[in-house]
Amino acid sequence: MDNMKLDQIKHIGPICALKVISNNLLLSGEGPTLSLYDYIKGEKIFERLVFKRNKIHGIEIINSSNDIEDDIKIVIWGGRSLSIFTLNNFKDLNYEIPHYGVSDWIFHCLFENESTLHVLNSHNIVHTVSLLNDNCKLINTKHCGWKSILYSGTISINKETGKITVLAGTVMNGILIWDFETCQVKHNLTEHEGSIFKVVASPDNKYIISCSDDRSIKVWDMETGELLANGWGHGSRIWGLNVYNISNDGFNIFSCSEDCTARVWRFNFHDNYNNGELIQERIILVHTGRHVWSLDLNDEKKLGFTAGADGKIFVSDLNESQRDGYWGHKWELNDISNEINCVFQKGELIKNYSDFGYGLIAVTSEGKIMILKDYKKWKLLFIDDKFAKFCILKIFENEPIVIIAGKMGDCILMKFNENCEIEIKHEFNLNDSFNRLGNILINGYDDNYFALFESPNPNDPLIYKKIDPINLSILESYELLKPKDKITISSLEYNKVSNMLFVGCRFATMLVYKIENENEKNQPLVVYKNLFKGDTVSSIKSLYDNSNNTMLYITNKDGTYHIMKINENSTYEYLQSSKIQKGFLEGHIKTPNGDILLYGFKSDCFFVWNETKQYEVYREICGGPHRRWNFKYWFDSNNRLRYRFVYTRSSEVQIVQQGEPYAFELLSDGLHGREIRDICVINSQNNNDEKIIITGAEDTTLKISTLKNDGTFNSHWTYREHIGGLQSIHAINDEYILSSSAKEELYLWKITECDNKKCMSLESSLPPSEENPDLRVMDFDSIEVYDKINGKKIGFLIVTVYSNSMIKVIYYDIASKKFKVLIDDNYMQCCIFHVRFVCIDKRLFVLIASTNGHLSIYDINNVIGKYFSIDDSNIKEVKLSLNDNKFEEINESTKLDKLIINQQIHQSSVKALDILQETNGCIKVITGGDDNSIIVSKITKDEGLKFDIESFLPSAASSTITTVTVIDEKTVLVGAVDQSIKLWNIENGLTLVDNKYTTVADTGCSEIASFKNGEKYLLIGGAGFSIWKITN
Amino acid sequence: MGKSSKDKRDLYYRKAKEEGWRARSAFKLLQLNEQFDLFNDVKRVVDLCAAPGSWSQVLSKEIFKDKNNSDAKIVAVDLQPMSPIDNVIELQADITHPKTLEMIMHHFDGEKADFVCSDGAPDVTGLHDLDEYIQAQLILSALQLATCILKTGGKFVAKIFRGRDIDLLYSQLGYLFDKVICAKPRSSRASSLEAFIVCIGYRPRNGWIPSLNSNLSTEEFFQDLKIGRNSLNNELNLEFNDEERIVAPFIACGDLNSIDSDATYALDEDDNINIQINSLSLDPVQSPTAPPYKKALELKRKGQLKIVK
Repeated sequence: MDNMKLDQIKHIGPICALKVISNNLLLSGEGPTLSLYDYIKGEKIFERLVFKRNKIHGIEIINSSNDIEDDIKIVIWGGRSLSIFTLNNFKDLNYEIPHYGVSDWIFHCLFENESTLHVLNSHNIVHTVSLLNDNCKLINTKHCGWKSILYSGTISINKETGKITVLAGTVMNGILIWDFETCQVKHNLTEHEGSIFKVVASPDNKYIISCSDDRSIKVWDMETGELLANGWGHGSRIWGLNVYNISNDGFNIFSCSEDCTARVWRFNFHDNYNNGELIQERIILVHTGRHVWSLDLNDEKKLGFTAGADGKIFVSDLNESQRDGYWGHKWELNDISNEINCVFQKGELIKNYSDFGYGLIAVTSEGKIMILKDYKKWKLLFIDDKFAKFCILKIFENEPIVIIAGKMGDCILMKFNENCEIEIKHEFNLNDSFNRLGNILINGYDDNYFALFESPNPNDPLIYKKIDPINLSILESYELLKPKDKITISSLEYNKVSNMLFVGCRFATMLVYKIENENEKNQPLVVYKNLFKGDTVSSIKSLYDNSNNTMLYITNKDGTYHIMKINENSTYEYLQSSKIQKGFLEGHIKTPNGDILLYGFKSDCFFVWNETKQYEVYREICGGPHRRWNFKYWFDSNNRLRYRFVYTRSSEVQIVQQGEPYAFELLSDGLHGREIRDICVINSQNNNDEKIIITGAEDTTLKISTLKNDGTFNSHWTYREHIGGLQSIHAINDEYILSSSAKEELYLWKITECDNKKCMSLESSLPPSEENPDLRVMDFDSIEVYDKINGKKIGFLIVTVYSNSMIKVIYYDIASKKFKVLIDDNYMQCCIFHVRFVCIDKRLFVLIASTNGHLSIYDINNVIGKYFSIDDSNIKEVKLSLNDNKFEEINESTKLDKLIINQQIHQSSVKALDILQETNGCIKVITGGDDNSIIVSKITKDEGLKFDIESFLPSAASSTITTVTVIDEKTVLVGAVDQSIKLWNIENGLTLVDNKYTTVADTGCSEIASFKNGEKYLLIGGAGFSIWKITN
Repeated sequence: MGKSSKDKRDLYYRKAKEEGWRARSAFKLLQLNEQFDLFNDVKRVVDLCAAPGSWSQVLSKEIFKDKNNSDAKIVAVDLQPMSPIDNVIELQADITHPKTLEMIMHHFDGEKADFVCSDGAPDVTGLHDLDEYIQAQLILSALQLATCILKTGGKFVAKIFRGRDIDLLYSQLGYLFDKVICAKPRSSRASSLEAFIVCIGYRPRNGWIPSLNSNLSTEEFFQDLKIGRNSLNNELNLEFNDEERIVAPFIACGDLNSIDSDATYALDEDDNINIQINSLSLDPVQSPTAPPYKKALELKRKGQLKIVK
């Protein structure tokens, strides 16, 4: 008997408790594990499993009398468990963490002093525990007479008087406030509707702050119980609340919600508590999926900490305007007019801004050219009618060189020094080329600077000019012919690998030029049309790696972005494609650590979004269309993004420059914010030490990540292509994967690698056959198809099963990227959960498992044999080759051959299935059901096929078995919703090999990653994700 | 039970409207009864967490169809009001309150009940451990009343979530009933954690006399029952791992040919399953009660809510 066993090495999942313990340390409850972070350095210092089963739902601390950090006493609780230890104990692995419990769910714990702890349970009862001599002893139990069930509660101590108050949030409408000493109910606050999810007291104990199912935040007077103010805004239930920034005129409230946001509110004492309304000051959008479960604050440093179902821990700066280097200001046109001592005409507006690093240059609609020196003081540079009404103003990214141009083609190049004075100026015009100017795009690389001039006349060529950065003279000038189609240029990039100039245009078009001949007219080398669904190529940037490929990052104004690889023969492919949830993209930024940031506008906001880590970096409300704006960014010595944003809003010029951040933004990356529905593992094409992991979740996103053979896990990209609820993801081979969902979506993805990240791009999708949005592609399987003569991979045979009992067998042709349906039929009327191709004695069958508890097998050899033959292959892998037919010759669909086996094995749904091919003539099918049972069935070659049940275990888990994964010839992994993960030996009946409990609730999928060096990992998905090491 | 495009395609939902049930959950009880013959010889029934009343409807229809049962009594209890149902006595009351027990006993003329059921569930938060705990508390409150009112040999049926600690509950119920079964009707989706605990043959514990007391929490009520529950002690050393865990046998109920709640049915396939639908958008039989976030929705409609996604 082998001793295979499982050990958890990583868990990512919902975080339900956060606690700031000092100006650099944060504790976080990540399932049963407690982690300690340094949020100044942005690193995890320590983590340790503190509970056996329960998740940590709360953390409280008390500072020691000697003020030594290591002596801080910590209480953690979750479910009925609690534990008390010092920070030093926690970090000392020789110290055994004590484990205590009460008989009821705990909602809050509070240290009255270092030796007394109060514990509030879900029946509104407070247990008082003595902590003397490091022993835990129950000394008292108190209640107010109302032992109704609670959804929340807090024990609050008035630091001045020492008076303790219990705030209890019931499941129906009411909040009970009772005095701990007398056990008298002071108030029963009933103005909320539904369950109360959080109720806290302000630190001075004068106010009660609560939230409920009704999506409002309410502030009450602790003394009178009077409702003082309401805060409306959260789009869903509110889970957490805290108070900070108390002053003489009010305080702030920090809240977090099911709507995936955290919000900052202001409660003002004056004006009758702002007429009973909380002011919503800020929305923080840094979590994904659903639920921001926990929050905490550092009131002194004004930092807000949030964590959610996505396993991400984020630090929001709640006092940005007080940081070193912050600069925010608004100027009305009048202010500017006074400063420059020059009157603005009626209706005169600032039309353009450019930030050259020392200051800002701005042009008004009447041709006033102004400088905002050091971003503080306005100066008039000159006034020139040529630049009135229409003016183009552009600035090179890395040099303070500005180009300004008027409608008639008059241009001025200017270079500024640190004092915002013009160092060199060079004037020229474009009269030789065209008599009207439409647009200018500029770009540079290394020491090369160039501009592209466009005329509104479609017959005029584009003019390319190279500029000397020292004396601003024109070094070269070329004419670039435009194609006949309507062309409006929008973005420009020179690529050094190919020496080609890429011009992005409207109508999803891109022109490519090779600039070689000064005298002749340069025709475009290629014109790419319909690059994507959308209108404008808003930015192009070269991507240089070691590969010598021509690669570009391009953004589409309509929200998609791509990594485009241009082949030698000018054809192109997307290595990476994805889109943002909402909004318009103007460009992207690559940070020094490789993160990709996208920026643009959504509704009335400018935003910067970290696409790699999936959080909003910056948001500025800047008004609707016809925006005037300039976004300038750089990286500080810690490689952190810094930025300055200038915009006009209601004719005011506004500037915001971010200051020195106090803390690190992201402490934990997390993964999906909703339940993970499937996991797919494939080999990395050129690295045996890593596997590529694709996960798909309830929120319809897919993520691509890597798992190294030392257990490190990193997520690279997120995909939002699916609209329907995700069902399955499986690999076809190491290059292609398929994913399926509701709305009958079946997507084929190609996996590649570039820019040090694993990437995917949607290669093709199977057109839906019905319009029913509920129709789910439940599962599928595939076999590779080879060319009979040259042995090359040419396609895949795919079988799909659906929630309406439909079964399809489809052939996919790699070259044409097209699907052809060969078989289209129905099983019965029930939902089919699983499908596999099985090969028994060189004959191909389709095996399905459904909600009716049956295993069913169809013989498909008659249909498949027409086009394909089964190659001599090993038992692990079936290979087909396409007979003499060509893809075009494959006929339209037929029905399935006869159902040769239709055997009920489970009482109801077969929820989990995996297959073990024992020999060429025999397979074992291991299934798990809604009926808690595991069944091992054997299918062998007979005259037809012979079906036997080899083993059956009725109560293999205490609830639905949702995942079965074969580990080796004799071992399977079985996971169930009761959060058990068990290894079973299936050689002789079913023998339990190992039994572990996973913190991943809604346990739903599992996969094995086996490395060449023998390391084996188990991946578990559900409401969270965990990685286990399998050892023998 | 609102109406949405999903509901239109949910055949149990449509069938419920067709047949006049207030919620699709009626079929769950019907299928449970098909399997366990729950209503046989049953004259005194308590339906807990009864609103909107679909289980009471089933009870009323099935029990009173036998003419010998015209003296049967069904009491439906809920905190929420419920529109009247034939042969059902409605009580708007808290099931944990001793007065409620008195009122039920009064209606039963002092006799004990043959059958207690509860289809209640809390609003789930998404925190699985908390949701399962609150659901277990709801079952315990129902069981609390059941232990006071069930006659020896009586039956108890309640909705459960089959999560990580369900085996604790199975084990505890095993002390009180001859048979404890986990049943899943086909009308309950396979993708949902929901199932039903069917407890047959109530066996009161020797020497333990249950009495409802509003001063006791459910935990305290069961404290001395010795059914394997951990209880509070002075050292707070609950040995969670020593609590008994048993897996109750699973039985799927409902005919295999009945409607599959996980399957997608096309609208034009209705004829095959004998459902005549006059119009696509049927009004719910029982209007949904006002949700707690009604005001938030109103503000949103008026554009007064700043919700950014």
